[in-house]
Amino acid sequence: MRIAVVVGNPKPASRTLGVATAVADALSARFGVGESHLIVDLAEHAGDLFDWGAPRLAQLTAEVAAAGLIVAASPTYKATYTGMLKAFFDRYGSNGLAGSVAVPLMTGGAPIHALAVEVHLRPLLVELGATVPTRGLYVTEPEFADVGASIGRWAEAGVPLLRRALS
Amino acid sequence: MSTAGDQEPFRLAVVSAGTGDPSASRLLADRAAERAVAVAARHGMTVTVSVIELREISADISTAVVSRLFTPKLQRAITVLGEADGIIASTPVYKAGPSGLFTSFFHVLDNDLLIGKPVVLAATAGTARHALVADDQMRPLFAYLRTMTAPTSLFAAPEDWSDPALNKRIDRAALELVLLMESGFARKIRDESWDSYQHEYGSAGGTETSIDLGSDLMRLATGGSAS
Repeated sequence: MRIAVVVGNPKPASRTLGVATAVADALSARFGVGESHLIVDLAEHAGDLFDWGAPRLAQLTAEVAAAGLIVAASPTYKATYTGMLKAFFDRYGSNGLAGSVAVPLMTGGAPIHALAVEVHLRPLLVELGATVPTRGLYVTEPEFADVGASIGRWAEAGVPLLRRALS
Repeated sequence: MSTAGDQEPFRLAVVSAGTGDPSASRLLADRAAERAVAVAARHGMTVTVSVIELREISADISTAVVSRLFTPKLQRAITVLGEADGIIASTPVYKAGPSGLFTSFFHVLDNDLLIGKPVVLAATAGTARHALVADDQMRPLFAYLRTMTAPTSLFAAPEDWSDPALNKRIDRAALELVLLMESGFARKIRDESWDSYQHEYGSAGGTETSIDLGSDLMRLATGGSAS
């Protein structure tokens, strides 16, 4: 198994990518994943996102689907995930992530849009056939300084559920 | 009460995220626009229809998403929306939601651009299983944009196209749209209540507010997104 991190932030190397990577690191340590993460920073592929034939993205969608565990991450735009993240997942066929386990992760300025991760991002992953055993993780800007603590609180309940789903 | 003679035509903007030419999304939007034109005519009003095909400006949209740079083509589309009295927004359903192209387009719009404007939502899909997408996934986005979204949403799966029930819904939505345009709701909001809406600093709203909405506190208060 490998952990794939997919980040739909228009800015490359964003803080959302930082949080998503920290989640992947935390899971990797707990599950003893040897292989390095597959990082898909969609900002680097913006020009290809609406091009259905783009070969690099075809390769990335296949690699993400083969990883086993996916951290799907987005900043909050207009109270939902970004169109950029959606454009990446739109490329899959029906049930394109069947057999994968996914963690929905969103970042935002304040808790007022925290439900977006449950009402918008989770159903997208479920529609793709992924198993989403944990609560979604919503991390706010004031938490960025000590993101390990937020991830730790989420992981306490989340890791046993992920372990069961992955076994 | 004004009569047809002294009234400017209503400007109706159709936004379609369909990828084909023609596309089901465009077809559904066109049917609704035609009905709106007919209903308005019955009321003694004329309607001019402008179409924004997102597939034709997809590269411009991704440029705007990444760099906040608005090409002239995208700017023209935004101007059409800003000047519209009513909007029909239509998308194909992918993965139980509006397409990434549709979402990206509405995400790059200024939050103030569409306040109070009447909108009919439309979605087309390969299966009836996704009939809730317009009301479950699209309506919240337009709530964020503070549009006056018509109560009737349109949805068409393949079997709906030959079902008279779809035309009934289209008629319903078209009448709602025309009545909302006639009410002048968006203009009245702008004239009487503009300051009571949260505006982002430097927005295209057109009316300055006295609060510095660009401060960190206000940015957080308005749910500003993290980067």
